Amino acid sequence: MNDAPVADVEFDADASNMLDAYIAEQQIPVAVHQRVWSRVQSDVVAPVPSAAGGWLRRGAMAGGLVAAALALWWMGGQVLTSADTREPANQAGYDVISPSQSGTAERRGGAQATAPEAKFRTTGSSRSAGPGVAPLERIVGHDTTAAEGSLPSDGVLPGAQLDPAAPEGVRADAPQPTEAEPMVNPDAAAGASEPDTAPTDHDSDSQARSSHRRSGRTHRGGSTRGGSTPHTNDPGVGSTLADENRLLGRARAALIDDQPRRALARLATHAKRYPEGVLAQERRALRAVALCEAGQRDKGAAAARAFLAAHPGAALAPRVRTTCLE
Amino acid sequence: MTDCVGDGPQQHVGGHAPEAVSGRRGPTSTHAPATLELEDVYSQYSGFVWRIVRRMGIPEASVEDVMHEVFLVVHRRLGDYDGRVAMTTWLYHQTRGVVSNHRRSRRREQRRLQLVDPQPAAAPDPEAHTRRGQAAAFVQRFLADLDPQKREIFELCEVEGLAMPEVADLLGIKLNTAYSRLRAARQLFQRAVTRLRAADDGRASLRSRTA
Repeated sequence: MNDAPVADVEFDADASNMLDAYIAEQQIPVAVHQRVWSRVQSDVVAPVPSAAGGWLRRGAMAGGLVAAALALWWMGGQVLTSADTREPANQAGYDVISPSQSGTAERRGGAQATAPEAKFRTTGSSRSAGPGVAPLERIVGHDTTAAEGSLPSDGVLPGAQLDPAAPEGVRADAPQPTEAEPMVNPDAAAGASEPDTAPTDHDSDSQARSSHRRSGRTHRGGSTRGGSTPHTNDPGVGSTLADENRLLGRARAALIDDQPRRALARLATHAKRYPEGVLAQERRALRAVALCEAGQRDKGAAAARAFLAAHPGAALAPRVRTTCLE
Repeated sequence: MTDCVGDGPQQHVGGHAPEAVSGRRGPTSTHAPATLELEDVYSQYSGFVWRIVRRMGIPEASVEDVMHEVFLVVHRRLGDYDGRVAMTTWLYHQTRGVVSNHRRSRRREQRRLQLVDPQPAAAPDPEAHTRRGQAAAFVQRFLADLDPQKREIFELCEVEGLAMPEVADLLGIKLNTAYSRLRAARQLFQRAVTRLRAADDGRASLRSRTA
């Protein structure tokens, strides 16, 4: 290689040092490195789903929700048996409500109830005004249950099966899980969950993604303003260690850039300045790696063996071993 | 000293197989790409891409977006990389494509933004007060004043440590032209440092005399 044209322009020590300072400042901040990688990775590993994939997933989700609703409903009968005793006062109030009084009951319930389920304990009419569910199916559900289960039509019990959280459900359903209910409920659940959950899935997904982006941006804004924060080495406290770390950091950067000879030069600087510095162990490891990567296999292998003998459990030991001895 | 005037490009991926992707081996050396993983490329070259994206004039706020795009492109095209050119050269070309697309799509938007919202003044650099920060800032100023052609060669060679043949290849110029530009840039840099030192000495001696 003809390096005569450049060899006549040697940098003096100041120029080299300044250039090194600049190079050190030009390292990608770790935070940026990690942030961009996580963005790339999320796009590569989980690409934006196609429309068909989206619908499939939504279908699966809705199915899962239906199953969960059914499971809850069955469990409700068993788990919530003790719930009856939770609020006996409310319970007593409801037990005397007749269907014709339901309107008043609701108003009264609304005024009295502190627990959220109080609303659901009221009658079908109030439940039909419940949060965003198809009212008709619910009412139909009550009617069939009431008819088939031939339960006392006190206007309280039938509705319970629709809301497993409602303690009355226990009394209503546990004895007679009628066949009509599973037929109606899945529909109701599906009807309720389809419009609700599918978009929710989509939304949360896109929200997650956009919030990810957003957070990326926010961070980026921060890193823009304080772009040089990772480089602000306090020259006061711990400046020796900082200097050591800086020297080894430059050696590491050179290794990453496949400039093992440059790395060796920088390691030599460290060795001269801090022969037994805090980071001497890391320097020896990096030197072995750099020697091997620079093609000086014998010297490198010797250095690697010496290093591994002295520090078999070092963090860099595997790297030294794979680079030099395998 | 002249790291970049070495013996051909040494850039390769995979760490311990120098023959894998070293560019100058000709079209026969195509055994590396099979083992190329996006993660390897990213971990080795994220800094390189980050620097060239910034150097290509992408505003700081968009650097990560562009980097992200670059590595998505790399992910898509990694299979096409056949090891005939150094990885750095290949990445440089991918990055240049993404950057020019980005510029094109953002130009109108930026023009509009500039009308509405003038660029905020740069925040004071906290590092500028440290010695090393001053040195780095000095180099930065020097490079900003350097003509773009010399600057690019100087940075690719001195900062990135690319070998001159690769730099010439990558920029599409003759090797001799590359060498002469590099030499000129190095001369200018050394002179600038010498001038700075003279100025510092002058100031120091002035201080000592007045004290």
